[in-house]
Amino acid sequence: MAGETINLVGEVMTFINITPKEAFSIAGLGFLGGMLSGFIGSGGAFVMTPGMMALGVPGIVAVSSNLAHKFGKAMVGARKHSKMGNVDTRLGIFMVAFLLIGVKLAVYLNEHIFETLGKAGSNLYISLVFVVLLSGLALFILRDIFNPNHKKGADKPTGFAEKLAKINIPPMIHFKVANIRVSLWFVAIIGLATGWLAGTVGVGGFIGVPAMIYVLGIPTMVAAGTELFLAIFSGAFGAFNYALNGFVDIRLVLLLYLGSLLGLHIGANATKMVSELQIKLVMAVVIGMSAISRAFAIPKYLVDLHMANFSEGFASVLDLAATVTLYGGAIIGVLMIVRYIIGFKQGQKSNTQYDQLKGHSKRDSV
Amino acid sequence: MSGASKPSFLKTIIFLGLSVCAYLVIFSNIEQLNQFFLSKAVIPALCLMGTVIGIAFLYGTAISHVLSILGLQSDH
Repeated sequence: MAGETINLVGEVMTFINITPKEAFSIAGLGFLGGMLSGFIGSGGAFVMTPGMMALGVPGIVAVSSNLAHKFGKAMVGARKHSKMGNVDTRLGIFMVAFLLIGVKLAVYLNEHIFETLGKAGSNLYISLVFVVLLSGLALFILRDIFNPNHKKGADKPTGFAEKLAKINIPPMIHFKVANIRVSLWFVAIIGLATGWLAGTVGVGGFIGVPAMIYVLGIPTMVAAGTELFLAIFSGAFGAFNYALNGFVDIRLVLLLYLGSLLGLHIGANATKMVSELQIKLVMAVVIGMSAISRAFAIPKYLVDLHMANFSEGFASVLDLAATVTLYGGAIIGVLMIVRYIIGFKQGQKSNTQYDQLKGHSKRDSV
Repeated sequence: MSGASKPSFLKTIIFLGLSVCAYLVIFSNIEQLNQFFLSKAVIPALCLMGTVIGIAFLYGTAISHVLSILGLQSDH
């Protein structure tokens, strides 16, 4: 499969030349991302986008192909989730308007950076956003794990959300399913931020869901359901806008599907066998390693842009470290999941044996 | 494991066959398809989105049916 060439202002961009080895790597990446996404309930773009970049795919093509992949998956998944009644359609419609503005802004910025600074500039921008977003998120999850005052399943609005609900900036809107009354301006800010992140790195839910829970005080399940509804629009709109400029590589989308849809089911099944703490631990490890990986990749892009004076050899070693950290993090995450599943199955087995022994001894005593 | 009834074997085979055919057709004509999809116009962009939805539906349903038959289907 030969690489396609696209003429862009100032640069000729070549898509990755996909050999059977690369095809297998992308499908495997899809499987890792899918399994992790099924397990921790997110889109998996935080592994798949940097993973594709590590394979040599330009950042903007990785983001846009991932958005197309996410959109198709969201369309299929929405059929299932719509039956659960966790979507606040009114909130979704209000947010979509601002979400699309955020996506459009992100697409414009990404394309502008690609056209002016080229592949290295675009990769640097995407990697910087990833480092800030993922390291912040990993720290947030770790704080959540080690915070002794943390209360499980706190669905009530937090103190901050309560304070926000009291701020009366018209128009104030009541959302029935989420059961909140909040200013449209706060909804607009969250919609814009979610859309911008979705369009920039293909990961919007990581900000959208916590913001809806902690800032607006929306119950967790409604926040997750509404985010899924929003993901269809952000994915479709983002992918369509990138496709209009020839950035979506259908081969990458299809190869990602091969692994991700299978991994998704396995990861989702594994959630029934583990505790909330174990899920958070996997999340913290994978997201943290992904953030470190992108930080390692930055010097190489700086050298390519002649913005730093590292030696080529040093930058290449760091680039290799970025690839190893990323894949290492994803593989450690998957191994942790497999270990939890084995532990659960062994526990089940020993419980059954104990029950059988108990039954035998009762019969003997009778 | 969901309490829903298992899909029929025939349906599973049909979806699997269709998704394999779709993948083969797309990858054997990838040069022409990519030329069309990357032509930076509204219709090719819409066709690309349609292809993604179609593949996601066919392959997603096939995988879901296979895992259901194996007793591994999830409610997520």
